[in-house]
Amino acid sequence: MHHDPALLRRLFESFDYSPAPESPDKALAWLNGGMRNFGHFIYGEFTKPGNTLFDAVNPHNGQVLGHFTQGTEADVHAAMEAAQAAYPAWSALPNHKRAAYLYALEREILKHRRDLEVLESLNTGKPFRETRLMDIPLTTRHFGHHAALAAIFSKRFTDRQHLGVVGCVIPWNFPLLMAAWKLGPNMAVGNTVVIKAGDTTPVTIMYLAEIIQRIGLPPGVVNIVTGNRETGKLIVSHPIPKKIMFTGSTRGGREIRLATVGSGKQLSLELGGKGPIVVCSDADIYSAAQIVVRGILSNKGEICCATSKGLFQESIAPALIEEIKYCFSRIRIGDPLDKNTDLGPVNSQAQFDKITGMIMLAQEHGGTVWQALCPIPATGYYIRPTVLFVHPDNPVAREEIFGPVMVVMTFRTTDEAIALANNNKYGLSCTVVSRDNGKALYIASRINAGTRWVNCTQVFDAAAGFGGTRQSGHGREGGFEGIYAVTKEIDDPSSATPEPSLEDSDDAQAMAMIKSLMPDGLNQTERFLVGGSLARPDGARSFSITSPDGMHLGDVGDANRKDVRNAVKAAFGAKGKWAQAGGDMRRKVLMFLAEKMQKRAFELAVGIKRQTGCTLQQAMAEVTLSIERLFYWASWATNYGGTVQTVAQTDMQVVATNEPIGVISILCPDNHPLLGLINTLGPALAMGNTVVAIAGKYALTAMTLVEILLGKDVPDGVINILTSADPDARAVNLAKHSAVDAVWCYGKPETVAEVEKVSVCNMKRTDAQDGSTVDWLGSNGTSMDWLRKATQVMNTWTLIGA
Amino acid sequence: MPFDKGVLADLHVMRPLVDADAADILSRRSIKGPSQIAADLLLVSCMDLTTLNGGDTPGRVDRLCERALAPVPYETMATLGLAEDFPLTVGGVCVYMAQAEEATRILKGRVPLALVSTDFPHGQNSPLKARCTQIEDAVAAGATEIDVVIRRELALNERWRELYDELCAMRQACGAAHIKVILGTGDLKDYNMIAKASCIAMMAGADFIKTSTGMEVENATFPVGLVMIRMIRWFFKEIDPGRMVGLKPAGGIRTAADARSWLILMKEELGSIDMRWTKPGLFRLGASGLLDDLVLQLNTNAAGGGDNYDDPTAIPMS
Repeated sequence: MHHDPALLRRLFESFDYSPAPESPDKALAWLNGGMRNFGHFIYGEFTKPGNTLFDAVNPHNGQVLGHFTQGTEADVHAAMEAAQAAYPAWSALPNHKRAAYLYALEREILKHRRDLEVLESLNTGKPFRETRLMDIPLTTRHFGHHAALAAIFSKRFTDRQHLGVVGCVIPWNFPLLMAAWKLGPNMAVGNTVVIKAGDTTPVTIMYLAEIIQRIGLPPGVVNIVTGNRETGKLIVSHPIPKKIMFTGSTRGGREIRLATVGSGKQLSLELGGKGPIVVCSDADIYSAAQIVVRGILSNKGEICCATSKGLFQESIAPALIEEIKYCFSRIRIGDPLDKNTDLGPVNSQAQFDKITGMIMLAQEHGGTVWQALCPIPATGYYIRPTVLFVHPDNPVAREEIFGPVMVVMTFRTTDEAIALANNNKYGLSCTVVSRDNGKALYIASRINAGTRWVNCTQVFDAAAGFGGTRQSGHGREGGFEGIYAVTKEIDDPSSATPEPSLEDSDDAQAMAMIKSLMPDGLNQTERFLVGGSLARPDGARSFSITSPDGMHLGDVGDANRKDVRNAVKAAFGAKGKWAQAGGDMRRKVLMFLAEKMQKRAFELAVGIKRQTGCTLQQAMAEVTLSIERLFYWASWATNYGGTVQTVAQTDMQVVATNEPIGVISILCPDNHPLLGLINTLGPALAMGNTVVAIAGKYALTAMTLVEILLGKDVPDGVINILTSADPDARAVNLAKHSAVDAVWCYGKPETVAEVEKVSVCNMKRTDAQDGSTVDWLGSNGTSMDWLRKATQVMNTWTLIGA
Repeated sequence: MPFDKGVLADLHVMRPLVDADAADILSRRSIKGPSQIAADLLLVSCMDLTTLNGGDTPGRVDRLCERALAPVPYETMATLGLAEDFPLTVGGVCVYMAQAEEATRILKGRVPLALVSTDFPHGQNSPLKARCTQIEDAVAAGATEIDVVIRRELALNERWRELYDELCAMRQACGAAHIKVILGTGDLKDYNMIAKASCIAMMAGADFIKTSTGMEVENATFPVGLVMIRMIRWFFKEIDPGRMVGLKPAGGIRTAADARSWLILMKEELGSIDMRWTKPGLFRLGASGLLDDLVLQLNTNAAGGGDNYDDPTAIPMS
């Protein structure tokens, strides 16, 4: 190993970062070193590359990444026909089937995310750091979240239905993420899509096409064409789509509006922006400067919601500007794949010319320019972080620049800040920084913008809608509002809720499985799950589980009061962490649990059959339904957050949040061994509660679940499972325990009464009913009442004013 | 400088914002290749090699001091081409008063000796006068650096004037010795309070501000470090222009990766003003086991890769 002592000495004296590049080799291999020719992706197949090709280029060094096909009228028509052909079957699929495809997209992208992160960086010039921390994680989040929305679609949107074929045109600045924003909601509700990739950035969406092919999505549901504005126009003007979704420039949005006049097509337009950032004098200057810098340099400023219009309170403006300059001067500009790079090149020569032109325009109108002196590479479309000090009447104060360039003005009072912020033809986003929350919320609420960030900026999530007002367009993507945007009022309400379908199973294969699963030889030891570990019964007793015809199937532990106490302690210890893990994490954990149950579906079914004496067909149906239900309940985890209350007081903001109750004890019903367990655990866990579950008669099924849970995907203590020969007595023990916050009891009628009586010790919430009266298979099992039982509504009042 | 209450009124640190800032800064920098070797050597030179245990004996302190003088094995330095003309010691040795004699005997002034003082770790066992006497004794015993603790009570109840007066008295007792003021950030918790305490310590003449004693439940965290670093910068620019105060994170820093993150914070926030803030004169890391990991990393890098977590030739810290 050769070392360069002189270099080491120099770095030791004046420390600096050596290059730390992420290797592009594997991603380039997929592109065949830039030699690969791409066609479109239509009806599940890649078409032959067309006659007219264009290059996708790395803006850092001009390297050609691949040759892509300019979409023609015939191409667009073929894609539209494909989408039309796929629509009837796709829209008729049960919700959980569409959800499963979206879930597969989320998982498959996660498995190959490094290639996508590198390719996105290569094609757009944005730092690898950003594609790794923002573009790709948000992409998977959008597919995952819309898997959830698909699963709960009929329940949450009872009066909505799919539209038909939707035409989408996306920009070059977030090539994959914008695709996910368009595909996620449309696929979730049953629409089929023709989407045109960003003009200069078609690389990652073609990688996505391969993933779509691999997961076996029915052909025609997603069709991808590449090309320039002309191709986009062909999509917009084609007669088939019922809706056009466009993200891009305000100019393009205006053209689309005009091109679709009288066509009856719905439109969603997400256009330009000039995002004000208001910094009040009480802000922490250091953090405020960081927010400003993040807000304008994210994606090189090539993002419509960049904090491009600085409004700083006069008294702190000099100090804040000095700090911003200090931050800008530390920015490292260069190879986007280097992990130390903060700022990459803007996307193209056209962009470069436009931005530098705007800087000149600012000067012509009396503005002064400050640019950071950070070194930049000799080639590539690099622009240093730039501040333009202008008056409000300078054209650049209101025009979108779309680069690492911000304008700065000052204000004296909050009213002036609001007026200057609203002196804006756009209305996409705004950012307010103040230590005084009431003031910050007041200012934000009075700025005309679809997204308002307080003490943060450039944060996004699939559960929160995004979109603008004024010339920033209309329509929302993400959140419930994003679902309304891709659906219409239902024609025939009775067709809305497809019945749960029962899977067919191969009986002969199943019987072979049963044989191989029969205990032969070694004795089985069953134990409780307490705090993530297996626990032996404290009383050192087991009881026998028998089949209906009296055959001994196995022994399980008989829990006593002390076991109950230990389980509650574990659940109590886990409750804070599980509640704070966040809905999306809980969704992923529970969906993953559903995956694992699917892997052991036969084993579970065999267990059910042996314990209940039902047919294997019935047992398989219960297992399938249970997996669906777990997926269904997991899907609510980020979709049952709460509401904003419209109170009489106009200076108050009241936010009602649905919060977990805490530790819930569950006496599982014993009419369905698995479904009874899953359908009660599901809503309790999804909403952030921890659980102590008691199984009795069919405890062997609970024991199979324990084995699955030992994979440790669910944090320790979140699920605790006990088995008991007298489960009703243990339910009463739990109802008496003061660390249990709610008790769900589906046992015998006399137990129900006793549980309700002893629950007064700490006034716990009870849901006690005779378990045999609940229709778990039907609508009782998916009722939103379960979510209400698993949560409590907390109202937070904030006085807003300045 | 004199006590100035107005300075404290200007502080508006918000915890979630600083947490986000620290995460953001660290996500932007990666120390690889030759930089990693240089950083690890630099971090060795910034270490206050510490033992503060009930079981400390002259024998252990003896070994510690020998390592302080030659922290990286000769073979490693030779492989790196730095065997000649590259004197490398740690930044300081930090022990209890009881071991001062043994430490000075070995160190002979070649590495600064720091002693913890003023009823370390909690500062609550004797009146101010006695605590100042402890400092005088420590200086007499050969310490050139004194690590003092603040009474957290004074910060928690915002009795800033009293805290200032106590620290001024301690500063005076130190004489020519450097004073490092331990804030006990794990006890203070509130970032704005940590910012204020940092300012008071610097006003009272601290040469270093230091995060923790290592005995708190919560050790030095990066966001807390960022709060203190920004106060150092503010003090340098606005409050006492030109006066450079150092930072010493301590407690829980066990891996080279963590130590490099501290270096990144210092370089990003202060190094652009003056690189001396990345040198032992103004940057120390209070730790003991950290040296083992730094040496392990240096050995690995010197050999050109091949992770080795079980090197039988490595000299263990204790």
